[in-house]
Amino acid sequence: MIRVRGLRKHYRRTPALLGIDFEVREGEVFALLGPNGAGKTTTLRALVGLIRSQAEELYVAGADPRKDPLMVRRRVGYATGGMGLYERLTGREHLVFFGRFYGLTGPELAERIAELDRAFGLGEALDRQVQAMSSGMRQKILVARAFLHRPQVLLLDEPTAALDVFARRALLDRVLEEKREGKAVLYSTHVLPEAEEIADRVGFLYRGRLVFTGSIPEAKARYRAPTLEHAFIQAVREVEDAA
Amino acid sequence: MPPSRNVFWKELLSFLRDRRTLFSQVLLPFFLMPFFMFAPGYLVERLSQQTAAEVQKVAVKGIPAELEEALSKAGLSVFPDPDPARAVREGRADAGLVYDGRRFVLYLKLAQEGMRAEVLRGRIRAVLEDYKTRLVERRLAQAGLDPKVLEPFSVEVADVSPPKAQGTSVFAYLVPMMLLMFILSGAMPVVTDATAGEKERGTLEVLLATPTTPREILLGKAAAAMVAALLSTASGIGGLLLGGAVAARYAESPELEAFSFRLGAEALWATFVTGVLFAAFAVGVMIFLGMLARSYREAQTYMGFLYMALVLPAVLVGMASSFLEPTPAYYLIPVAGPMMLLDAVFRAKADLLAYLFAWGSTLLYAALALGLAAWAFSREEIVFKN
Repeated sequence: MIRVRGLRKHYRRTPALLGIDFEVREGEVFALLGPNGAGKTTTLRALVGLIRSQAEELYVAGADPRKDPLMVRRRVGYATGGMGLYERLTGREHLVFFGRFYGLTGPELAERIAELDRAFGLGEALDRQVQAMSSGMRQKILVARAFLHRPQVLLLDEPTAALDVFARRALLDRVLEEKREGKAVLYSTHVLPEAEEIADRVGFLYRGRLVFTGSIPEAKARYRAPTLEHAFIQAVREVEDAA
Repeated sequence: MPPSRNVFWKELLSFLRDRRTLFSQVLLPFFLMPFFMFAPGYLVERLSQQTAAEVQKVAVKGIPAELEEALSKAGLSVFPDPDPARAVREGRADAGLVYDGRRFVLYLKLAQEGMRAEVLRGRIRAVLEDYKTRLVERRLAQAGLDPKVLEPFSVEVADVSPPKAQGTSVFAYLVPMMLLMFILSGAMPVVTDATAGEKERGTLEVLLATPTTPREILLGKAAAAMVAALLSTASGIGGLLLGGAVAARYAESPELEAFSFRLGAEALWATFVTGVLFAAFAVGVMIFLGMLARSYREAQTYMGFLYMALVLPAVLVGMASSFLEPTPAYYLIPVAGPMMLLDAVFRAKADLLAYLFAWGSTLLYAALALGLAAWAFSREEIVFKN
């Protein structure tokens, strides 16, 4: 579903990604882990074709985002923790607005919104303008939007950054449900316990390099660490020592 | 639904639900324009009439009894005073008039009293002129001459401007600037919200990650901003025409009628087309500036300079109205071109070349500005700069 080889990106003279390789298969959650500034957001933006990048191979949901970004975006659900909503639109209007971009209209869209309502407990948020919503309601709409068009691939960048405990739980459960349905999920985060809960495999991204990819048990064994967090810290130390 | 139309409806819905913006950009121009454009003239005229009807005190010294009587008949309260200038300075009199046998000196507080003193000067001068005429007629009669000898011909002034031009008021040269200003102020909230606002809220990235091209998103946003700009302008024009109709209907003097404002169908069409083209140009420039900004506030600062860009062309139009005969090349100047065309339209002076040059060049500038905005939308270093 996602295949990346030699992905590189420079912002003027600043290197952001120095040739990273990984893949995410159907029915798999791959957690991209790294501190702020490691290159996680840049990776996800490159995968959706929002930024120009170089790579030997780059495939997302069967298309190359550099050549056919619209095809990739049709098949991908993308959500970032820092995103917001339109203050004067209701929750339902948000979902209708974004649904139209994916060709969803009429009863089909209404049915999908009802499904998301059941999955995320959107409730009052559907018919209330964002400016009158609580932060919890906003977060639910934000998350539901990414799942709206039943994407084959989910690219989630720090999706729980602004979520309260209920919305966070609903999102993680939804991600696991999507995985069971055979979707590929690329989950970028710096909250390692979260990754430990949902990820099948992880990638440690540090200063634009993917210093480890493998399953969580492999990571713990490779770095002789009791938790994923300890493994990550050890991986970073090794990179620093080598430098 | 095409993506650009989807974006357009979303932007328009957000605009129409923003009550404060709607009130200040659409409703307020309709009610304020008549007030701003006609109230000052009406007020000045009413005050002049009131002042003219008032019994004002005139301190006099050495003036003939016949003149004193004429001043009294003109509704002035005349009283003798040994020092009329002092009487005026001390506020005991509104004016002072002294005759030394050869000349009359009129004392007034011109700098302090302004229009009120001017009106009084007019009243006293009219009485003096009348008195002078009577004296001359009397002396000519004594010399056996017909008083008409001093008036070998009479002079009349008639306005032969086309009727279309006569419907415009004495401040018509201000109207083009105000219309373009409405376009700017109407589009600004929508553009700021749709560019820097989206960046600041974090919605632009989500929008760009949908299966839509940046150009389609830009089209939708530009169209919504143009609608907002034209709504604001239509409201301003509506207010002007309403105020003009009221001024013409209730004008009590020719001076007040000069403040009226009427537009024929042809002028309205020309205004609409010019407005649409200028709105496209202004929206393109604003979207470009809005995309460069990191925040809502920064965008407002950048766009504030656009108002200043209207002032210089407005001066040019003011000059063109009275002294300058614009050649077609003048209509090619950005902003000034459409402003001068509107001025020429209101004065029924616009010819085919003026239309061609102003509309053609504004269309070209609009295309360039929208191209620049599209470029800004496609540059990741601009889109993700925050």
